[in-house]
Amino acid sequence: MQFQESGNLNTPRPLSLLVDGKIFTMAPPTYGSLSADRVINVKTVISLPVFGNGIHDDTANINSIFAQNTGKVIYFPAGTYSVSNTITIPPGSRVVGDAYASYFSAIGEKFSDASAPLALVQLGKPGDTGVGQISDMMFTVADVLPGCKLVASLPSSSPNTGLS
Amino acid sequence: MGTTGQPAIVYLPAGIYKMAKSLQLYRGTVLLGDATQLPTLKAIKDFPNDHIIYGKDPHQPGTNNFMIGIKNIVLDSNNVDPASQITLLDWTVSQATQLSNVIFNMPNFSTGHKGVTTQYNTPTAGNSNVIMNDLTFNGGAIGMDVNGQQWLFKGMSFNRCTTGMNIVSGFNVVVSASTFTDCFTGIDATGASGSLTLLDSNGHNLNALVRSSNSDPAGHFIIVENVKSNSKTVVLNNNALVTGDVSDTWVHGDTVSWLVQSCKVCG
Repeated sequence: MQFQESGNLNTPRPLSLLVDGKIFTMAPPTYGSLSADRVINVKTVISLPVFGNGIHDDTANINSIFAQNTGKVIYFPAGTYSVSNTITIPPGSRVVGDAYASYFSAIGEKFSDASAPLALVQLGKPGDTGVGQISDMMFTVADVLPGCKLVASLPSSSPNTGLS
Repeated sequence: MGTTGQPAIVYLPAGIYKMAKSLQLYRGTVLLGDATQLPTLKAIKDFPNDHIIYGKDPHQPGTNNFMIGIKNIVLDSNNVDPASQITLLDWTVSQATQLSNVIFNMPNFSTGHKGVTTQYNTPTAGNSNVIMNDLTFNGGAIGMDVNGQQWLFKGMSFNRCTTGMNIVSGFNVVVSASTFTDCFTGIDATGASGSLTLLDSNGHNLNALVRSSNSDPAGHFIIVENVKSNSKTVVLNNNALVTGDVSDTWVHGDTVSWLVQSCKVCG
């Protein structure tokens, strides 16, 4: 160990992390530039009711709403969204919740096998590229579930995939 | 009701709100302004309290102050005498909190105003905040007067503050993607006990971007990486050790030579 009052070192900076020479960062999105018709409240899709009450299994309808609304912002109002299988968030999706009051909550035997862990939330499928953004959401489990991966994200060559 | 029985998302529409006394936040409270037109909370001339917003829930020690947030708000003390001791926001909080997209407007180079402090009324418990990001500080004696443990400060902008960021204490502080313009001092790191890392940031028209003390053995480490500066960049004990840009990495402190290895994945 050597004290250096004023030393110069080389820090390797992988190109895939850089945008304009700086390690990629972005401010949390506000979606303030989007018109209201680009935002969907997940609880107001009449044909696909989502309860968010911590009791009803909302898995199927949440997945359908995501699949049918890529490119929109899906808003999850305060509530606990009980989910028994993976929620798949496709490329082009933007998810926003009510900060510390909106929960994806895993429940059920599909999440209980530690030798075959299953994702609660999966950003994209293998081979997908594009943008996926999640902000102001909480991820939790409703039981002891040793096979639950809260969030799984696949690596992409684009720096714009962001989880915040 | 316990500690999570009364969460609240408080939404503020656009407008200028005259503040005649302070706001108190509690665990589970998120204050959210209109993102398209930030509302302003503006203190009156004879503002009676020492903070405009108390972020710390007084029922809990700072280290247990979880699930509190403030976003998309402007705090303004321009009507208050520049010599008055006023802090716009107390943020003596812990993890699972968020403070982002907030603008702190204070009289330029005022002697008494501070934007954020983190050591309010906690003689023993301190705080355990981990991140503040995308905040703008205009004017003031000190933009951020921070006393804590570990932090990432990302995307900060300091303009016309006498001191942008004053590290009262902190053992692991990383400042990234931030700009310091027309301030006397960008970051005063004298109180840091571990390391300060300044990364991917700019200093423009400052007397010093990083100012601190100097000792051997080092009382703290300073790492400066990919920084642009048109004036003195690192000043320790009044000596300018670095002036101008740092395109790679400059360090002050103890280095261990076996850590310097060839990089297999860089492009």
